[in-house]
Amino acid sequence: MKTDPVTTQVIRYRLESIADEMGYTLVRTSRSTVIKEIMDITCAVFDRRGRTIAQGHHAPMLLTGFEITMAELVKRFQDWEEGDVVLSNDPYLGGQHLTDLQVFAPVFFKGKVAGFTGSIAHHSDVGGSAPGTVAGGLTEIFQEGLRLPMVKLCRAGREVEDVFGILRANIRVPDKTLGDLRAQVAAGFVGVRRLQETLARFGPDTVEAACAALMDQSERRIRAALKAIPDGVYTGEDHVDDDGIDDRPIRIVVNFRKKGDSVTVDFEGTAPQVRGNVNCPIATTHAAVYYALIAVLDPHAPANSGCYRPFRVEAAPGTVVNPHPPAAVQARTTTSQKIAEASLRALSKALPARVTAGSHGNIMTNAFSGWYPGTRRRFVCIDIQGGGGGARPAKDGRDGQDTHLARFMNTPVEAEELEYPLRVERYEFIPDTGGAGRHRGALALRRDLRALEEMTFSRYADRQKVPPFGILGGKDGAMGSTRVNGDRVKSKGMSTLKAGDVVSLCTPGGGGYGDPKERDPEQVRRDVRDGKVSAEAARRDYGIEV
Amino acid sequence: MRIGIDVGGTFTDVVGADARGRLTVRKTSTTPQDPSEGVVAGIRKLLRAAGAAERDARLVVHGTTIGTNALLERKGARTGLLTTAGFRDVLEIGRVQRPDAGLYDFNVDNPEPLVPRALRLEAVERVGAAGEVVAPLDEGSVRRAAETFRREKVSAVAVSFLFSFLRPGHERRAREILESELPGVHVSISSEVCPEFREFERTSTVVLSAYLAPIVETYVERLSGRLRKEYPAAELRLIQANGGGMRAAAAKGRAIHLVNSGPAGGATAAAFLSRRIDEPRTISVDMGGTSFDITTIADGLAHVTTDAKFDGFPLKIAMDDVNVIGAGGGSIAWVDAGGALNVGPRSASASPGPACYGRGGEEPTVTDANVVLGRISPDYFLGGEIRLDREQAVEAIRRRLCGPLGLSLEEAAHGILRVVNANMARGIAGCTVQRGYDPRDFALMAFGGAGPLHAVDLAEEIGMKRVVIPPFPGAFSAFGLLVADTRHDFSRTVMLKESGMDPARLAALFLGLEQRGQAELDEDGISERDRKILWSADLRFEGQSYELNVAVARRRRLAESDVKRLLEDFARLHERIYAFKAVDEKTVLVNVRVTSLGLSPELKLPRPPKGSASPKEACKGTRRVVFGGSALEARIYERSRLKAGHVVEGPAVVEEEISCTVVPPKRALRVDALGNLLIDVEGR
Repeated sequence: MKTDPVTTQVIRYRLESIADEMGYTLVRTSRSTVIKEIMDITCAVFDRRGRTIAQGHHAPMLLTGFEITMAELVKRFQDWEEGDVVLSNDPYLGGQHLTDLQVFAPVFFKGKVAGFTGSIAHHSDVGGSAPGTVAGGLTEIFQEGLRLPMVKLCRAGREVEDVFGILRANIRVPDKTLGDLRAQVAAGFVGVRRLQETLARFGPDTVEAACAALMDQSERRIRAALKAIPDGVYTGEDHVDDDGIDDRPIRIVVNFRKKGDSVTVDFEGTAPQVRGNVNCPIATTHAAVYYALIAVLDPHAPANSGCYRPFRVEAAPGTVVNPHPPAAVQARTTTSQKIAEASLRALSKALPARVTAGSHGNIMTNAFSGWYPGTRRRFVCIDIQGGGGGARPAKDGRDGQDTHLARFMNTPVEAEELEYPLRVERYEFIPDTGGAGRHRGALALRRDLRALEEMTFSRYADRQKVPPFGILGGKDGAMGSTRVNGDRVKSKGMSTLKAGDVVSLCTPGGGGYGDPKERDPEQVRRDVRDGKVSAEAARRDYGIEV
Repeated sequence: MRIGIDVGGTFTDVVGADARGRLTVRKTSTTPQDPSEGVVAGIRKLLRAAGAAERDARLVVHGTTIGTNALLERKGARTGLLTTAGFRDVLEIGRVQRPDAGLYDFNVDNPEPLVPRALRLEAVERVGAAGEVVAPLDEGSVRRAAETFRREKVSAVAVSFLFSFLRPGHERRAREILESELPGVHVSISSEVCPEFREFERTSTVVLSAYLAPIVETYVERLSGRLRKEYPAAELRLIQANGGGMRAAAAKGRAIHLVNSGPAGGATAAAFLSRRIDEPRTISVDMGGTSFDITTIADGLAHVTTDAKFDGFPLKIAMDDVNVIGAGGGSIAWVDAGGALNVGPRSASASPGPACYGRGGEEPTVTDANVVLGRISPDYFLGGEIRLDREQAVEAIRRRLCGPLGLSLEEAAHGILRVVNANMARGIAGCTVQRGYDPRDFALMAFGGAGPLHAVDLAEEIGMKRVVIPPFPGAFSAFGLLVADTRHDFSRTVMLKESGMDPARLAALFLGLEQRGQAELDEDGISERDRKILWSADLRFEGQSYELNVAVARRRRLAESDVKRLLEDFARLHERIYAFKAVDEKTVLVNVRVTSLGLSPELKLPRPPKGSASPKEACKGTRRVVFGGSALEARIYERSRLKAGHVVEGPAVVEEEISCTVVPPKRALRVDALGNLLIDVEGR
């Protein structure tokens, strides 16, 4: 069966529309702040072999990870019924971390499986030893929550009560989590219906041919961009501060062996897996490498499985980028961001005009949990902070904005205070935190929160010992910090707060790009006027008196 | 005579209705330096055409893009911002999320804030989440800020304090101080412009208000003055983004509601017509040269949102919910690096315009495809105003598309239409599904110069069953101004849990807002019997963060049963939109809203003469038009000669001055009693 380029494009819009619709359904039907305000979700449509053919525009970290999960799913199940739904969160079966629940549904057409729909969403809690699984000090996945290795959540359209019973008994906020899970199921079924309509309208053969053509198109775009880079080995490295248990940096090395129109990626030189929870499961490792390559090679190539064909990723088992079970993995984003950063550093040698300097390089994840005063109701408030992006070849970094891989929103101060016994006392940029350069790294953020009741404060953060790197002569960005009542506390850990205690969260700033002496003096003066750079730093870093 | 006047980028459209319901439509050129000039000229031209005198101009309803343009060109006032201490960067931090297009692309940014950091100052004060004063307002800190604002020569100041929607006292006092310290400087406070929670979105809204108000107010004053001189009998009303009118004098202080009102005229017109023709569920699409505006109309009313963005900035006021995508007649077709055919979002706009304009445009556009396929007549485009060069269109498509795609000329041209239609279909699906609607349950009302060309194909693509092309689709937005009611929306975040939803307390909250609406209607001079007041509330289940709007019975004394009904209605709506039933959920009442309407007098619609079934008299001849893969001899009709009851069998094209409607083979077009063109698309 053949298709023409026009029909292919019409079908592409249809498929993307399906992924979008799934996303709308999920966001609007879910309960928890993490999904609704932060939008840590992704939806996708797959062909019958489990290859991604369209995805909703949400978090790339979650997007590309689907490939490995789907390969496993297709292998594992042959006994599909219409209306089945599979739930999985197992990092050792292509999952991300336990709080990311993945939900898949087969799409039947004329009695046969013709494709799948899938969604992944970050949930506020899946049980385990710490609320929201936000804590340092965990050393095994068993402590991180309930592990669900591809189980049927629905059979022929009916919820499997046994599974729901297990979930209800093992998580802290079952109403929210189960509500969110049902939202994912609803989104999955919306996708199923729409894909069936598309198959009926165009015919399954035409749809299949169009999907093949779409993947080929994306593949061609990536290969064309690869071809333009000289063959060779490009290496970059970065470090995770520590794993929250052993106080030593964890080395991440990414090697790109580029030849012709394809590239092999390995991690030779990378640290072995660690005791703490910063181990990065293989699906996330793939996502990080894919992200960096696509961003640098062709950021607007339609995102589907074809994009990844020119890439081969080889991560040695037992390393921090492909751990053996039962390593703890909850804070894998800390490591995956470094994989992306090391990748950009490597690629800067081939394509200096297409990369950025080092960024905040982690997502500062904080969970405040306690009991609503005078009730038996528990709260878990997840507060996520981004930080400063690295400076770019033609522009400064985006002050305080998220960068690379994950894509999320902060929680409004007023929303947080209306729902939880917390008071935010400041939320602002920190001057002089962006690395100096021809283009300045982005400023870091500071958020101070006062606990109004006793509660626990669990967290993981990074880039508090190893700064975001500057490139091509740019200076490093500032490091971040976590404080309670002004005193530094460990970046990864758990504390108890008394009423009145103040937590101070400072994210890292971005690294600079190019020689600071080449910076347009007017931009320096503007930064000083805006209080983004102090007069003293202007003199020291740029040699400009203001 | 009632006159609607809509100022667009190139043309100013004027529609007048006299007491007998006779409509007159005219076009003049827009005068960008001072649009009020074009407005007065347009009225003059219209009155002359209608044979009316100056004193016959009684009501002028005006849609202006002055605020929109000022924002797009960043020509607003030099604005300062005063926030709660510790939060001056909220405006720039935003929600920390890079834009959609920046998912992988490092170079795509959110718009730069309208107030640079140096002009964002702080006042020492704090209100808590229960509305309690945590720290009283330090008036000295406000005075010090005023001093800096004076030195920096700002001409507008926005004030946004945390939780001011619960306790506006600090913001009000700050405004008093700023106004007395900074005479002549405009001050907007967030508790008045947008008394709702979420500090970034609220701050963004009040900043937009301060940034644009001085320009909008100056314009309105100038126009009022000019009209008073030339047409003393005429009352001036301005159309707001919520699709309702506002008397010119009210624009002072509420200018933000006039911003982004461009698409509101079309949405209002479409809603009005959907009620008249008994199609209460309609999706209206306005397709012009560069953009495609989509509005969902349910129960005969345009969907209103309070959660929109304006050129990338959140703008939280009640607005007609119009979704815009970059698809229009000028959208450029191109082949990407992977060999796929794309259309838009880049547009050839008016200059150089599509290749067929012959003004040097070399890239093929949607209009070029329509010309090549015979759907647009080169001799009758914009009523013959521009003569099109088909050869240039052919050349552009051949050179840029046929080669790279391996398609014939007609396949490529047809491909452009299919791709742009698929893109528009995706836009329509997106904005209906987000609201829990299935677009297939709706009629499609298409207008704008290019809308009627694409309407039937688009309806088929989506599976919609009926297409409606209104009379004078090129000036339909101006018609919307004629039928717009006067409207004032007021809201307040109250955040009541179920236990706090005491009927007496609720009634007091509604009545408080209603009082403000009634006072506005008093000022408007609207009589009691022409008023309609609507109460509604935004609710959500505890822990959710999106609200749904539900109507509330309007009674001076609310009863327990009213509250119960409200909760039930919310649960039902929630289930319809979200497809799951919530069990044992606690509800939160987030905002109360009052809409105060001053109803416009019923507008009689003109009725074209009735004709026999055969439209032969309107047929101008035949032409070769390509449908799907095959070229057919299509009949060409002149719309102005069609009569009510006429049935036009496809393949056909119905031409009029500013637009043309394509009827594919096996479809039939019927002219209804009001002169609308109806095409049923049921069954494939």
